[in-house]
Amino acid sequence: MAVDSLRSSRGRSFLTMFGIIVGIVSVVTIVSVGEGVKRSIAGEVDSLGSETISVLPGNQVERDDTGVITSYNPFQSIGYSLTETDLAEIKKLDGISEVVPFVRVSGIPQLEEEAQMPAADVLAVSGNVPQVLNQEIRFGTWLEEDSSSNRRFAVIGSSVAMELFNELAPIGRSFQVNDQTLTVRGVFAEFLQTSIAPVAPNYDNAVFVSYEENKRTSSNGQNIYQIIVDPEVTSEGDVVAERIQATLSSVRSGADDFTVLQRSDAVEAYSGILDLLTIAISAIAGISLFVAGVGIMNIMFVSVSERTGEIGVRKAIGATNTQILGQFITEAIVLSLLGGIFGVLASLLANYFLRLLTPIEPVILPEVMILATLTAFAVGVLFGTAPAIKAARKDPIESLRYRL
Amino acid sequence: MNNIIQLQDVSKLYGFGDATTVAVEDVSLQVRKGEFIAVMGPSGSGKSTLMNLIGLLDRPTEGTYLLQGKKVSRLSAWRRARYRRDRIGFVFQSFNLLATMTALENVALPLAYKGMTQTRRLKQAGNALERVGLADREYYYPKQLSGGQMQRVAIARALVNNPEIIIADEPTGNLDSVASRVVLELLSDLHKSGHTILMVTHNPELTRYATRAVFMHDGSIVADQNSDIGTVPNIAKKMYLKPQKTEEDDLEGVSALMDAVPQKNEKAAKKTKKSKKKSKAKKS
Repeated sequence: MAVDSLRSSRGRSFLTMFGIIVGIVSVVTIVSVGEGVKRSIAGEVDSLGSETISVLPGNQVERDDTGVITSYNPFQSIGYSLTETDLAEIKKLDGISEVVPFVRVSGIPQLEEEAQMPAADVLAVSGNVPQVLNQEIRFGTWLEEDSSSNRRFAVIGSSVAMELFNELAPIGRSFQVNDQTLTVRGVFAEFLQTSIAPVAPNYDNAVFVSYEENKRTSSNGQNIYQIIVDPEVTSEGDVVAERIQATLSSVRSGADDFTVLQRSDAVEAYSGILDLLTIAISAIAGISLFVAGVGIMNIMFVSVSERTGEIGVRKAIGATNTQILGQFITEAIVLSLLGGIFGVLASLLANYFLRLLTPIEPVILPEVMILATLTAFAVGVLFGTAPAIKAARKDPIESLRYRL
Repeated sequence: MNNIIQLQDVSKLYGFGDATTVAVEDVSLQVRKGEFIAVMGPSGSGKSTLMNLIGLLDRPTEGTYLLQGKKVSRLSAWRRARYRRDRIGFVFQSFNLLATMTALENVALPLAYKGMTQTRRLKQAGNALERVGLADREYYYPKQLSGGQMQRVAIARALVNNPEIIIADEPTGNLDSVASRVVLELLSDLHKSGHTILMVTHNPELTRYATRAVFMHDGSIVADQNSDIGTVPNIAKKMYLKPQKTEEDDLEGVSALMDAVPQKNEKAAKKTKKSKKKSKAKKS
């Protein structure tokens, strides 16, 4: 019965629902975009491969009681560095398959013909870098641990290959860094751009040289800015990280001037921030639901006055106050519930277009859809009650005087 | 006692203090089962208020009302709604059909408040429509029906619950004489099949269908007369034949006033007098 009267004023019913639809679409879309971003971060982390552990100089993070990072400041590393001793101690630990120190070498790679690439980073490394970075060499091979050879080799990122040599695979060609000649031995495949480690150098722009060779030739001491550790068993990352933490603490006699980071730390920190952001924006979008509810209340009040005559007739032929109340509340609920359902459908559509037109991949969880529909229902009950009470309390004789 | 309706010193007052108006004053009325009562009286005489009280749309301020021997004058709104649903059918001057529903749905509406299933509801409503001769108009909307047809749908709605009492408040007020006769014939049929009918009307001619005429004035019953069906009761005849005040009377009064006012132009005054007399002569 309630539905009949809604059907008879379709245009107005739709306009009333529109507020609810907009509210539900905005909340659901924001939550789903948040969820999508969270998942894409987790996906990026997975694409980084094994659960590697980064050891960084300086105390860059603060953690809460549960170990989740609450603040991260990469500039805390300034003035600190990791040492050869640290490296040696870590290498002694159990359960580790690969330890790779990273040293930034100052210098600009250049060709003999004066072509140079100032944006490039020259990194001195040892160990299996392709393994810890989870990246394959596209052309050539990785540096061999062969310091007896006098010839110095380098593996370069794909951007360096294109910008310096203007070819994809300049294997065997030579270039110079700080007046030393290096021969290209391999070229990395293009790295995925990740948002997880904001200060990580762009490895496409990097020139990787031998750590041992750099140590031998460079006059100043080795300045290790990062040690990446790959645990033997992926699931034991936590244990290994704790061991490293303990070892370095004792090496440094308790000084807290280093940071041990796991991939999961980054995900947890990011999703924490993202959850907060999603809640904040959803709350703002939730205001539109409230406004929509007031809109429903307004329309229901208008409808009650307009249909005073109808209420009179219904009461005269035997409708009790409760039945009139029920009819109008049902109308409000049907309006807002339909709005909620249309809203969820519209957000599925919005989701589709977002995926189609933007790099964002929103994910609408079923529980979000159910919650949205329930919210719409609650809005109907909340804002439909007052007009319905007004309708139920109308005096039948007064009401019968109104024209139908 | 065979009285289906028994009013004892019933009064209905509106407003408070100095602004109090008495709509119905100390009315006592006994209605036997199966009576067809025509309630007459000038507007403002309390007819409609009395119908609302009898129809349990309202509660009397004072007095007692026994419906089928049960005291109903102080019932709660909920119980009165139940009584209206099960025992009383209403027919209004302006039909009061819901425009968004078909004739059939309109007739079925009282059954919905009884909690009947839709199939049974529509079946019973169909029977009621058949009874008023509109079986072929089930799916018409009110605006597609003539005034007479709308009133017949309204009558079908009033009788769909098979109520003991049917209250018709000026059912022919918006209808022409032909449609009025059809409606009255219908009410008469209902009367014959045992329903008790109370009908407010301004048309003394329609009291032919009634078994009793009640005349109200200033909230009180001033005359109450039984009559045979087919005859106009004396009281109604008296009203019908001797209207107490008409437009002509008013004009007469105005011209008398005009005469009383001293006029500069005597001729003009005489002229008016003459023309008045002429028109009076024409009338008679």
